Amino acid sequence: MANQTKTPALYLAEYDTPNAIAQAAMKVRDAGYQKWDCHTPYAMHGMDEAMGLKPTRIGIISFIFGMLGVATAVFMMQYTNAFSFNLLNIGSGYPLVVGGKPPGAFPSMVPIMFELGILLCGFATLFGLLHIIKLPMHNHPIFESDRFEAASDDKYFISIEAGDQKFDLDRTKALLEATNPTYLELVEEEVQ
Amino acid sequence: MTEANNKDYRVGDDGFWARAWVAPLVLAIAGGLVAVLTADADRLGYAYLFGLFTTATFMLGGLFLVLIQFLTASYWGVSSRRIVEVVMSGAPVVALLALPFIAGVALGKINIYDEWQSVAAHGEHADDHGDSASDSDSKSESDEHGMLELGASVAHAQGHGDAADGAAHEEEHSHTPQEAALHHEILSQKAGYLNTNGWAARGIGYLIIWSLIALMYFGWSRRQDEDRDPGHTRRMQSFAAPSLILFAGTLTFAAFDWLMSLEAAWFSTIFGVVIFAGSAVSILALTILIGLSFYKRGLVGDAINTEHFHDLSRLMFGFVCFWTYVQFSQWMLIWYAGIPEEATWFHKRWEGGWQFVTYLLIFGHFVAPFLLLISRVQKRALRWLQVMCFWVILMHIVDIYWFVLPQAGGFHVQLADIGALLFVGGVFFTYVFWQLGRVPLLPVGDPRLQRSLNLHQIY
Repeated sequence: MANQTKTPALYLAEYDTPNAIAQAAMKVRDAGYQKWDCHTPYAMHGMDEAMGLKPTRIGIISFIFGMLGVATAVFMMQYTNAFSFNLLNIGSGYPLVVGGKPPGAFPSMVPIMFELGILLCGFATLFGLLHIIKLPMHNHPIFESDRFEAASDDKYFISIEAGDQKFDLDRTKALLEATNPTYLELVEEEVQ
Repeated sequence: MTEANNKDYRVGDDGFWARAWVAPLVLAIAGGLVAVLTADADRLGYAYLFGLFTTATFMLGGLFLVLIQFLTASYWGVSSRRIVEVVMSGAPVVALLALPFIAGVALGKINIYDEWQSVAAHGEHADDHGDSASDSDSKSESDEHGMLELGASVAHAQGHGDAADGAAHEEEHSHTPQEAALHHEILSQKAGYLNTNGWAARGIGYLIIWSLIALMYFGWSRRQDEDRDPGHTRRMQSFAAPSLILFAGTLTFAAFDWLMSLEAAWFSTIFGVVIFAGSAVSILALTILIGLSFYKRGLVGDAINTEHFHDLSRLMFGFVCFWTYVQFSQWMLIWYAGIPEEATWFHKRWEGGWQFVTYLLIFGHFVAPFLLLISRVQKRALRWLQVMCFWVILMHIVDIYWFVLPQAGGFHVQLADIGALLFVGGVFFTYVFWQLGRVPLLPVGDPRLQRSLNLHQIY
């Protein structure tokens, strides 16, 4: 434990009112920071615009995987049930007559296409979302701050991470000080 | 009191909406003339039913949308609710337009339900003579040849001619006597439900129920405009659940009575749900279109804005998928079982040129709106949304056309079909546009209006 050193992890600015944090967020947004976040006790309307958040990509991910599910279902059923050719030497399909319908009758495959489409779409939404919001994450240096607990109570916080390209110990501090926070702190991370 | 509650929000002297009712009136007169002048009596019955039911689905969709909003005490749709309410309040107009149809069927002037009417009329000789006199003039005179006559009415339902000369048609369609007897057996077992008196009485019942619910809700909402009493909202909420149950039952059975019974021996329990899904799609598209016009002309300020259109179009997108789901479910079960008695209904929608219309519905009513409205960007591009709503309404009209007209024979669009649609729809929308010209365009007394104005889609 003796050889531990501390490096700056993020600046944490604290505000008392939703209005103050919205004004501050717009200034940070206009300064061009990317790796920063706002922490409020509840979802604030208009915060998306104030932070300049881009529309989420989750819809596109879900759509692509949903269509992939549909395509997989079509391919698998047509390959195994409709034709007897041998693809890439992995084994031949076996044309099946079910219920007097011709092999590979498309309508009977629609429910499977639907189900597999929904399944992959659901998985893609869940895991895509986890990826986008960077979960699971075991720890975050922001919890080093004792004051941060109030983010789930009655205080509003802006954090700018040291990983940001524009992060600079002095200039970032000056920017945040110009937004009149009630408290400003440099949170440090222990590095072994 | 908020700013929104102080403003009037009426059409006032807006040149377009103050006179908008003239256009459907002109179309109604022209359409009515065309239909009467070009159609024979048989075709006119089908064409009128097509026009009537298409129009009714807009009204029924409106009824549903208003009731469901009160049932869930939702606020997102309050600012666009008045448009839906006005369409809904056209229920008595639909009732007036439906009365000649019901009377025509009951008096034997409209012969599109001959298939079960003739069987029911013959069955009634055994127990009741009350109405057979009024029915018999549309039928063949002889009771002894009931079997032959039935064969004729089957042929008639397939659109190949008149019920008058039965024997010839019987041979032409090679219905064996056994088949005809089976058919007759099914229809006579249905006669307890499918008979002219019951059909007419139920039809009038549906129209009365729809009109009552619509006028009650429209009346309360209009009174709230004046007195701003939240009590009206409470009352509308408490009546919403029973009204919705009534609505669901009447819509289902109206679909059974008016559309499904065109093919007398055919049955499908999900039929009413399919009609309901189409109704919901149509009213949402219509609300977006009218709302967009108000928005662009600045009649409602910012009260109905992109956020509300986004919500409405999401719901429309959902109901387009729901329509597909139930239509496909109904078709696939019947296709899989492959029982002739059930398959005949779809057979008529596949042969004689109808295959193209069926494909048009699959791609136009589902695939196109699904791909062209799925993204948030597409839903919020108002110009794009407007085009899509016109398209969806057009497809809804094709949908009802596909339900009614295959029963009249092969695919052949006649002027009478378009004329009848223009007539019934024209009269209905004359009322709707006239009413929109005189009421406030927002439910200005609704206690949830302010929350609705602040609607904001996060994601």
